[in-house]
Amino acid sequence: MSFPNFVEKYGSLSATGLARETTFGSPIAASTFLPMASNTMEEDPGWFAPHLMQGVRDYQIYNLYGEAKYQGAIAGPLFPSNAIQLLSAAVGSDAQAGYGVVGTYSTPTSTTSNGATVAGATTITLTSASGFVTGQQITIDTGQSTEVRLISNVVSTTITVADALYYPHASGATVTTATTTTLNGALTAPTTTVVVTSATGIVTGSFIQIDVNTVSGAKTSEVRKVTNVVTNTLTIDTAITYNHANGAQVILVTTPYMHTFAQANTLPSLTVEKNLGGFQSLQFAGCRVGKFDLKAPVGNTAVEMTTDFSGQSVATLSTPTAVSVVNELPYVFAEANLNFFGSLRTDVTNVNAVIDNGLKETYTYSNQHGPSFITPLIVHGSGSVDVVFDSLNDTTYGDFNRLANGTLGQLQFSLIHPANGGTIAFFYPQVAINKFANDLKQEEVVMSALTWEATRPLTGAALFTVQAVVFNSTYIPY
Amino acid sequence: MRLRYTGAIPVMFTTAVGEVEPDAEFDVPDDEADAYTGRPDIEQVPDAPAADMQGAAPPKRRSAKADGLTSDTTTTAE
Repeated sequence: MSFPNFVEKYGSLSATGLARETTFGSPIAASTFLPMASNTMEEDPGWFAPHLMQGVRDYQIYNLYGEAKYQGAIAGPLFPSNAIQLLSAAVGSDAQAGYGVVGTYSTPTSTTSNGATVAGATTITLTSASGFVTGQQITIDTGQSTEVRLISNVVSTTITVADALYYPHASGATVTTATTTTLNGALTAPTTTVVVTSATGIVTGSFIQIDVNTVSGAKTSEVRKVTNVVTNTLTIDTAITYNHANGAQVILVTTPYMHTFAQANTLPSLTVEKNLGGFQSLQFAGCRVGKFDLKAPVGNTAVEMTTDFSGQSVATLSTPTAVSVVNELPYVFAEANLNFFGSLRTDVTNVNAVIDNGLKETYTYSNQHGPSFITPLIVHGSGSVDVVFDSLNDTTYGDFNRLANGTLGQLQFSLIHPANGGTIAFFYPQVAINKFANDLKQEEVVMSALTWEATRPLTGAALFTVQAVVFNSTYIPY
Repeated sequence: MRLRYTGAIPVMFTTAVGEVEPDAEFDVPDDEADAYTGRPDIEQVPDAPAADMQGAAPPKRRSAKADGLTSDTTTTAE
């Protein structure tokens, strides 16, 4: 028998590409790739044969096709930039009104807080308010607790912010602000021409942040690269998305840039390209994220995510899209931080966080077998935390008491590369511990296994179940 | 074919192209260009105008995406 006359394909040459769609179900060629461990996206054409009686014993006769499904899961490590579009598809779009991209000040005015603040606070007292002016942006704290707000008033060393703070901050937290110039004339989107009152310090190649966010959405910040400067008229690389009022702040900024993926009722859809051995691709269009499952165990393993997709259609690509990746590393457990019920926990051996969007596929008379709608009906946050057991009732480590007393608290989980190499943070403003177990083993340290459920607060500043924030080198919204 | 990368941050192609910076131009063999031209962050660099065509802008090639050519076939089982 002769060998088959085709060349075998290498699994190692496979890849998973993603692109955010502008119209649900209209495929876009992949522009970001997730170095992946597995991709189980497949087509189920909905084949069936009705079991009918017509004078023969044959069980199945008629080949019919009903509801086609395009589903699967993609698993791989979590990177600062590669495939971050997954977060927008799992939680909500980047740069929604009031949650625009924010840069890091090129020339900050820095001070510290003089007194702790609680979640929900609208004022913060500084050791010095020199350089802090109403209308400017204030950045409070660092790392996973970084918050950016609009200064609405300054009285002596007390700053009032336009929107309440999400997180508590310790006394002595780093507080910064900056201003470079202001808009000289309102901007109406879309435009690439920006007129400022003074372009001093702004040169071709500079990055500027236009405006300061307010949660109401009245103001939304945007970051752009300056491609030309003529006196006080700047040209930027990409047209602005939002309108900006005359006099809005313009700030010279640099990397890292802060992206906020705010919870939303409508989730973006992605095109998922499953590259088979570098030979051909299956291009799944109209893919929405059902479950986003994050695991960060200790050990010689990267922090991993598994994303369940449901799509609308599939096409074959005889030429797979060229694969590209950002030169960066996945996260590992030593870069993980858990702030649980107000305490930074160093006893954690694993965090698991699941976001379930409750996808519902709806089929209609649309001359196609795929679903017409793939709807994220709910958002459900839950997960587990494994810790080394310390105490049933300690103020910091007494998780059993939190379970028994029905205590509610915040959960912040972040992954931070050193030297501004990228940060990803998940924030659940209200969680409850619903299970606490100690599985005792003779030759093991006593561990506590907790499970938690997220709920939407009824009051306060953070009226959502989950929000994700990413700091990386990309200044354009995902 | 000469192409330009229009993305916001440097990326590393796993092909011979290697790492490219934003706005960088690079060449790929014509028979491999389809793998790149569909990407929303890649555009074709127009050929330089010929001497007798000076002043006339060369036609800009539409991307495969704009032409609806990002896929060869679409499953529409009837």
